[in-house]
Parts: sequence; structure tokens; C-alpha cells
Amino acid sequence: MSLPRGNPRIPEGINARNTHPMREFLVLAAGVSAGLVALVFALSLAVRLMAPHSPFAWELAAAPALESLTDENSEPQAAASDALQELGKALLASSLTVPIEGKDPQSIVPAEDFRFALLGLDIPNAFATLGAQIAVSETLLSHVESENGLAMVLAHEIAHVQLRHPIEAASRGMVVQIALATILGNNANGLLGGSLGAGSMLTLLSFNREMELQADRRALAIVRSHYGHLGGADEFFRNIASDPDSTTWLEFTQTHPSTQRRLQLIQTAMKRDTTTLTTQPMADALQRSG
Amino acid sequence: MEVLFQLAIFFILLALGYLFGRRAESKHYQQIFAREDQLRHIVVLNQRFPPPGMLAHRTDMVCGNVVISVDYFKTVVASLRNLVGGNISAYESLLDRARREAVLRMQEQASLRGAETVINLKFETARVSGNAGRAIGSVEVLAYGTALIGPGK
Repeated sequence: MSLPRGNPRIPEGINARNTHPMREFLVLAAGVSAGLVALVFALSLAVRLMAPHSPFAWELAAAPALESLTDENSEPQAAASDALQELGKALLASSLTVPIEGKDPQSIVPAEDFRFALLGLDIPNAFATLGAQIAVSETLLSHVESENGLAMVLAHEIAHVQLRHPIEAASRGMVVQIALATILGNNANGLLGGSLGAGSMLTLLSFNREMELQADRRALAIVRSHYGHLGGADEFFRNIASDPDSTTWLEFTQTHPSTQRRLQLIQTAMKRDTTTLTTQPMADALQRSG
Repeated sequence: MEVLFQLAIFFILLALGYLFGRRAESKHYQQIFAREDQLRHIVVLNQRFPPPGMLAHRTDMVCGNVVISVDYFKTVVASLRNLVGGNISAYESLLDRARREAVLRMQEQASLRGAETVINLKFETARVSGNAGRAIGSVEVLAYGTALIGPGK
């Protein structure tokens, strides 16, 4: 055996292939994101089909009670709260005349299980949460001019509950989170997992926006059945849209459709009214200077 | 908003990792090619016994080691690979560089001692696991062998 005179020159590209790392990254990232988005979408769709069929009693048992954030002992607050309850109950009664896909709303969520609360929050907001609990912030009251304006907001939240949106949103959030934690949980790289997760969460937002539009459509039907017309239904969004603080962010990143789009939906529906749109004055206890 | 911030930070880190990692890698490879040419005369073999003509040579152990760190971009590509499986080519080039650098350092040592051949080459690899929990790991590659030093050197 003769000794070589020197080390051989080994051709490059055998042990370490000359693949472009960026290309590999892009292909992988696109593939994995597409897979995750498809999974989240499929899970969300499954939840959407199943959640509305869960009995409301289960939801009621799982719902945490909404704490009142206002001073219930003060007389004006108690009066305002009562007036809100009264308007809520009246709208509920009217909502029962508007069936949901041929079903009686009372059989989906019993009207007597609804709770309405006034919250001392600084932002004009209203929401419906698990257990048919509907909350309206004090600040919202100064953004509407008539009872009809407030009724549209309440009807929107009632519609959410009757369409079973709170349980759908809660179940979807949980199912998707568990799925992502299972897939990305052992991924030691937190930022990557977070980014992939965030990307999939954006998919969820489109479901949320759809729920808002559905609730708006039903709310319009409820308000029309209650007052006979839609006068004042656009008050809240009109005031929000003219608010200089309101941000016009990319619609894709928002849980709610843009104010403009919802205002348009409501105003288009209002144009169909032929009767005179006389709005009801707000109950004294709920009047706030705008 | 929070989601967008998180995405922005992620992509900035990724871009920095890519730019710096890529530059470091191509510079390192250029250096490796040049030094391999310079040290080509120091023959490295993995046979255990000296060739018959070198039985009278003095023997000396020589070793070269290198610790090399993964950049952020490579860890991201590897984490994505973890989900679907397959070749992690981003790590292949990293370890290729580490092994060749370790052999070069060993050859430099042998050259300093006047050796012309190194036999019984062996490699060892260890993970420097201090920060492995966060996936930005470093590896150590050690190459060692027996240098054969001719009489009179």
C-alpha cells in the first residue's frame, strides 16, 4: 500500500448540499402555515356546526357570573340598571317573534335566563357572554341619542346569544388552542410557535367578523319587529364613526367588521322603511349627555 | 396589534439571522477551501498503524477542536423541519464546516511539529447544552489523531 502524496480534494455539495436556505425556509414556512390554517379552519367549522346544538343549560352551568362594576347602591345607578333591564326584556319579547332558521328562539335560549348589566367602563362598548349575560358600558349611553339607538345595541347582543355565538366563540378558542398546543407545544422555539399560532388565530378573526354581521342582521329584524321601523338604529355607529379617536385599522386584523361596513349594512336596511322614522326618547334614568 | 408586533420581531430576528449567518458561512467556507489547499501535504488517514515506511517515526497526539453556534435562521428552519421531517440541510452545512475546521486545526498542529502524516483520525461531537433548552444550541467537534514525525524533525 503506497501512501498518498496529499489529501484528496473532495468535491463540494455531497455532505452539505448546495440548497438555498431561504428557499427551503419559504417552502417549509408556506407548507406548515397552510397546513395549520387548514386545520384551524376545519376545527372552527366543526365547532360552528356542533356548538349551537349543545343544550343551553350546559352553557349556563359553565358560565361565570358577570360582576356588576357599577355602584348598585346609588339611586341613579339602580334606576338606570332597572331601565336597561326593562328595555332588554321588551326587546326579548319582540325577538321571540323572529324565528331562527324556523326555530322558536325561546326553545334555544329561554328568555327568562337573560341578564342585563350596566358596567362602569370608560369605553363605549357592549358585549354578550356565556350564560346569556349582556353588558353595556356607561360610556355607550352617551353615544346614543334615543331609545332606538340603545335598542339596536341590545338587540345585537340578544341576537348573539340566541344565535349561540358566545358558546361557539368560547369552544372554538379552546379547541384551536388545544390543537395548536399539541402541535407546537414541544416546539422549543417560542417565537416561531407564537408566530405560527398568531397566523392561525388570524383565521379565527374571519369567523368572528361573520358572527358580527349575522348578529347585525338579526338585530335589525328584532328592532323592526319591536318599533315597526329602523329609525335611530344607526345612531351608535354614526357616533362611533365620527369619533376622531376611532382607529381605522386593517379590517383583517379586527374581530369586528369595520364600523363603516356595519353602518352601511344598517343604513341600507333603513332605506327600505316606508313609514316615518320617529324615534322614542330615552328613559330618563339612561340619559347621558353626549 | 400585539400579534403584529410579535410577527415583526420574529421576522426581524429571522432576517438578521439569515444575513449574518449566511455571510459568516460563506466567509468560513472560503477560508476552509484556502487552508485545505495550504495543508494538503499533511496527509490524514484513519488507519490505525503507521505505514511500513514510517515505523521509525516519532508519534505524537494532535487534536483540533471547534465550537460552533447555530444562528437564529437555522433554528427556525430546523424547527419547521421538526414538524414535517426530512433533511435539515441548514444543519448539514453547519456540521460540515465544523468537522473540516477541526481537521484543519489538527493539521495545523501537526504541521507545527513537523509531521507529514496523521494516522488514526477520530472525531467526537458534543452538544454544548447550556442553552439547548431554547434551541439555540452550539456543538463542539473534536478531531484527533496520531501525528507521525520523521527523524531529525
